[in-house]
Amino acid sequence: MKIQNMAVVFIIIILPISILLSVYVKGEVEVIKRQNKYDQILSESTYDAVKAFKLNTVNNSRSTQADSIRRDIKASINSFINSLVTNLGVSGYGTESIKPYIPAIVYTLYDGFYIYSPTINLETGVYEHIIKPYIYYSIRYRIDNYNDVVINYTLDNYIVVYGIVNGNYVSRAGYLENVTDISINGSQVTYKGTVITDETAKQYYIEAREFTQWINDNLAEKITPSNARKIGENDETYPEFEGNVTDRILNITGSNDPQREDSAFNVHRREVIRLILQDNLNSAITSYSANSEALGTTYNFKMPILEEEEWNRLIENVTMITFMQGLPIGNKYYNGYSVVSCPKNKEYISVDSIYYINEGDSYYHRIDCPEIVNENTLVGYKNIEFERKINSNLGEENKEYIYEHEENACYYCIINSNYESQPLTSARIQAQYNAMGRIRKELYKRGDDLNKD
Amino acid sequence: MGETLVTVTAIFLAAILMFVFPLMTVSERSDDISELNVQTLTSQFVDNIKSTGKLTLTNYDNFVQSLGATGNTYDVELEFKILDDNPGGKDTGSGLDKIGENVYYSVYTSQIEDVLYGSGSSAGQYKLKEGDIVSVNVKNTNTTISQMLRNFFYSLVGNDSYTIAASSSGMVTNTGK
Repeated sequence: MKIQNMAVVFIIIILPISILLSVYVKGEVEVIKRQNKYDQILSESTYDAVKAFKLNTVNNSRSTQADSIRRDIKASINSFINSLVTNLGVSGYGTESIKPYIPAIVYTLYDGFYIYSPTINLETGVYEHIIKPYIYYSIRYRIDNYNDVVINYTLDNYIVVYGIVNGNYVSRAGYLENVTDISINGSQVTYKGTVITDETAKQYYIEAREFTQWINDNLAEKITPSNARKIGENDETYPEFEGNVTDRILNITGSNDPQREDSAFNVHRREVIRLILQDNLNSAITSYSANSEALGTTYNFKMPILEEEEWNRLIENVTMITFMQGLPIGNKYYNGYSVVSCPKNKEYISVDSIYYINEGDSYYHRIDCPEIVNENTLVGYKNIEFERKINSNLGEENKEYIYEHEENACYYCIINSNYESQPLTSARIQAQYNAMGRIRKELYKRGDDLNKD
Repeated sequence: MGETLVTVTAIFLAAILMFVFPLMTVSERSDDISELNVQTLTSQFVDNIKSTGKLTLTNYDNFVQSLGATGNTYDVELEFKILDDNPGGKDTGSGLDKIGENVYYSVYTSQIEDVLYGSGSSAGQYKLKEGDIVSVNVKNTNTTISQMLRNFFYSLVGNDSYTIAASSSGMVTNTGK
């Protein structure tokens, strides 16, 4: 064969291969680009929803109470779906076109969480997306017939206990603090050697001490993770906690201090919250997968595996998780989720989310800011109090925005957070303990009623 | 004579078709795949900053190293737009009925690197807060094989003659600790 013929044969073989290959690679690039775009859209829409949630809770004085928070969550979900359809460019079809691709939305709050997912609405008999009843981070511990309690955990050291303790029915709630850290001498209260000056904060420390003492006397020696039982007739154990008979999680001492991240109490608390979230979310998504034809999709919805770091964010703050699955993108289906936390809320205050004002300047700071002028006059407030809100006294026509505090954000520590953090002096520590105690005491908690009788 | 000319032309054409053409296609595909890789890495990098609220030195180094693993060198441009919370209300009476006045100031790669590689307690990470905007642009600075081959046939010169580029941006959703 002549060389020319060989060349022709070669080209006949190579050309289609290379064209096909290039088309395929271009297609793959498109798919990945679209996937990245959808990821971004999902995370932006989730952020919009979190922002809506924040705005609504700022302007709703009863936002921590059950019915009121459902309303805020409904509004937040609406803004999520609106944002999603607008970003995806399908707003013309209305929100119903996108809903079948959302197997679940979760709001983790202070002491429990809401799941928004498709299920049968018992009022109308229609299979549709609804906000399911609130689920507490609660777990049952059964030791014997005389000691059988349910404990509700929260994002911090507050717990609610109800059930049978030493043969009597009890229901109590309170904060856990290491008893030896708090000393009460007449009207003087000290916490870790620092005198507490704020009256409300004093109340917090006195009540926490009393409650922890009660827990230490009645439950500390009995409860270990292996006592955890699933709710139901046959007292099934949790395989995750089986065999752990040594951790006295409620024995609050210096080595099991609820303020320490690695204490047995905190480790167990996180495991419980994670387990309950995972179980409920998994069953919500699986049940939708089995019934998804009702909304017109046949995609096999599955719960994705969340990364460790995302779980940490979930159980440290009020957070929203959204899932979007089954949207066709090129030659495969989109399957993504987004976790966005909401550090400014009325539900839960972590140590980092307290801002401090002092008499020396007109700025609010973080506790370790080098620009604080007068340390002895520091007073801490929740970060959400510095947000702009609507002045509700003026009515709808004369809408006006007001601030609860007139201080501006410090340019060193709040606007640009890359500052040399200062070691905490005793005056700063005192301000921190005062603020922490006062804010915790003032937070509305769903278990507060239990202590009233 | 005529026969020889045809043969020489044929050999020349055959050489181009058999070697240069496949080489060009393959090298262009290789650039496509690099671009795909770079795009994915950049999105992941930005997503991480957005969700954690900070850029750590480890993440930045990892990102630059992973980019290098595609066999090219890249120019990484970072831009953080920092939201200024203060304008728009507290002092000025006129701002009371307004919403949505957001003022930003920007910091760029060299300023961010100064903090990352700096000293003191704030070194090693660049913290951002909720509401800030992150944007990252990446493009290649070396000449890839496909660029070289293309320049052999039709030349493209100038500073912006990159073939692999990726960008990603978004709003920070979490305040870094």
